Amino acid sequence: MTRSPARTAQQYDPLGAFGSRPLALVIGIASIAWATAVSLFSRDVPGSPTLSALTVLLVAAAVTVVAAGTGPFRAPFARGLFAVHIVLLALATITSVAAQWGPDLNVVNDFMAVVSAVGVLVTAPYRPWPDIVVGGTVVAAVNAACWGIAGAAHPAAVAAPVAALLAATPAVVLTVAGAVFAATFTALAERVQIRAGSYSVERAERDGIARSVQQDRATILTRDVAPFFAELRTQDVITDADRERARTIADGIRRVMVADADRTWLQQALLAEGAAAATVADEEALIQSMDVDQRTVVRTFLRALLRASTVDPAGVRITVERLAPSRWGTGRGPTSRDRVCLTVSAPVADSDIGIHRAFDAYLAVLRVTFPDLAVEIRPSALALRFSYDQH
Amino acid sequence: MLGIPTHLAPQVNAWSLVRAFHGAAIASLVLVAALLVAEHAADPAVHTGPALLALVPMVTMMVVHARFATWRSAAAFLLAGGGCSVWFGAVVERELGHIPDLATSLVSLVTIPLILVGGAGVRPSRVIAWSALGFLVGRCGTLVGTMSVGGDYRIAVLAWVALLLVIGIVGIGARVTSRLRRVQSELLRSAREEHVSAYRQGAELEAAAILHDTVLNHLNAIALAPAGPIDAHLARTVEDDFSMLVGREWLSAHPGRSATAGEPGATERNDAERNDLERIVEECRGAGLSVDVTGDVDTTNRLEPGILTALSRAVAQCLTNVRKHAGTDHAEVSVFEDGRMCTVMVIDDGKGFDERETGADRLGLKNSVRQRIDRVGGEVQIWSSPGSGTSVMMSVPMHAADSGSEGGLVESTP
Repeated sequence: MTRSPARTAQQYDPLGAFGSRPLALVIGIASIAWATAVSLFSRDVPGSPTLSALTVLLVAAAVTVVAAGTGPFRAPFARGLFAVHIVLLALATITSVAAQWGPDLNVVNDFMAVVSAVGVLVTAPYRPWPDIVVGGTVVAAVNAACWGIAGAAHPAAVAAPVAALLAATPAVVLTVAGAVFAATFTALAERVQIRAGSYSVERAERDGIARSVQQDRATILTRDVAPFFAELRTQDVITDADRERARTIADGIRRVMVADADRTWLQQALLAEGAAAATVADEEALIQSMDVDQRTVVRTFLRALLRASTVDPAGVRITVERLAPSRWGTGRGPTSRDRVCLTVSAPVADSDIGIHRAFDAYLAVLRVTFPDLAVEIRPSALALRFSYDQH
Repeated sequence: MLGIPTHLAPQVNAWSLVRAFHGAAIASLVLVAALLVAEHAADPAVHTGPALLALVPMVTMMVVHARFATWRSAAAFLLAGGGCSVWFGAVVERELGHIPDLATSLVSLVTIPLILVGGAGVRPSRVIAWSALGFLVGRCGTLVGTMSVGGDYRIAVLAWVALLLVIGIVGIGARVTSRLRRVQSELLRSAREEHVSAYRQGAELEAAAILHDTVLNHLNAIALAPAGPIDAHLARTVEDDFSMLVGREWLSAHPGRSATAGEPGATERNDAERNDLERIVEECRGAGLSVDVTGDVDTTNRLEPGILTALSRAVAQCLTNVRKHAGTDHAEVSVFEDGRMCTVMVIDDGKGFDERETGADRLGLKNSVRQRIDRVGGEVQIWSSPGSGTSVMMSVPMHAADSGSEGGLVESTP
């Protein structure tokens, strides 16, 4: 039996993770600045400027990995990227110690013990707690090993085992904080998260809907059918004109009924938004195969898109088509056999920065729901594409 | 999953941060103890026991504060922590003042719990204020202790980092902007709309099916009727249609949906539904179709009202199809059940048809049979081919709980 992978705070609360991303970026920039400042001005020994520069570059690379991986269009922050991030931090730790190798080595003055620990902490919203524990342990172990070796090679006031423990301290403290946060958040979120499926239509509301639907039908019935039947009741014979009128009314009703029966939830949603002019290409009504959560997220995004003052609903084009197996590879299991691709394109009268500002939060939620979401934002145009299994 | 409701997000985040802060505080104190033990092991001349003892009141008050989590317990924790810091700072300076790296780290680590544990709550400003106060208490305490034995001021880097992280995480990271709050509200709204929309679509399809079975069928009958005196049966159905259109709500939620077996009301409604099914068969017989009913018809008494209504109407449509299209005047209705599903078969030996060649605008089978049975969690199978008759098998769950459908429209009898 295979276990489903542990979920992250980002997956439970994509908007919350999106909101906390600026902090990760600020901490990343601060880490680079600190590494640069200490490398330039505050090394205990001149050591190796090259290795100091390499340390700063490695820290910058680790920050870039987090910045790129936690972006709204790349969620969720994948385990592979997390591993790269940890490896970069570990390498930076090693180069930092190597850069100041010598008898005056001072563990307290080494920024990498703190920078690498903070690097683990910032990933707490994006990875499950076991990953954070493993990543933090690696960072702590590398810090401890580096300073243990350095302490043994160049004995100082602090004994080598104590130096190793001191170097690992920030990583241990912040790893515990990060892992506890991730574990607590996901446990709580599991209980309180919004599930579209948990909603139900109340009895009173059902009555209201039934009345509303009947009222909609009443228009055609009271306009055409009721007067015709009323006339028919007063006469004893059916004439050719009656038969022709019955046929005409029946054809009209049939046309409306066929249109109603064939309308998908997407077309209904567009109608509700007054966006009938938007183009939907969905010959096989494949949009019907989305599950309730997926529909909810797509509905939310489309409503935001159609209501944006910069978007002309007539220019919005939605295409739903079956994805050829070669497009998503083979051997992904029988449930992935029928995959559907949805493409949305819209002209947006705004700059790319404005488009990001308006839609990034929605795209962050879309990306968590549809992990293969691809977004293309250019000045005056937004296009996105994702796929889903048929349910 | 669509995220956390807006009104609960701050609580979830705050409680997660509280637990994280507590975890980090405990880790700090454990590491302080580990460092003291390791240093004593490396240099037995250093007496770290008194410093370890200084941690005990702090840990005790931390547990008390975690238990009560009031501002009084926080103040008591800071008070006790401040006293412990003085004690700890003095011991560390006296015993480890000659190892500045270690002494600095230890006073930093012992200050971290004061920064992290005092401030716990939902309001960021309050958390930050308590953390800053904890930092001040810790630093002042350790400084007083250090200076009391002749030590000097040292920058506690880890304590500063901890304070800045708290300010950053609580002040920036946990901030939910109005824009994000709006998006979250829109997700909630969409989740609700999704269900209303699905229910409305079911209602519209049922309305379409009812209109197909009544008004549309009868309009077609008029269109096909020979010119001349109106047929008595047709006149009566037109009369019924007219009173339905103008007289009452013909599409409404079923009043007996929640009734359970054994309740008097439920029994009465089941009786009414059974009569309704039999009435449908009788009507078809009255219209000239010979209908044989076989099997255990009483089984349908145990169906939930809405399911039985849907089944009855679907059977009516099947019999109407036999009468209009099959080219035969005989049909059989067979009823049987297996405890979980009730199955009704409508069989005729007429000319049959190929369902794939049925026009898109022919809504009888699609709306009035398939979709109607589907909405109550049942399924339909059709066996037919030109020249070999038709068998329509409709299976519905005996109970709504087995239907797997969330409140499909259950309708009253038109």
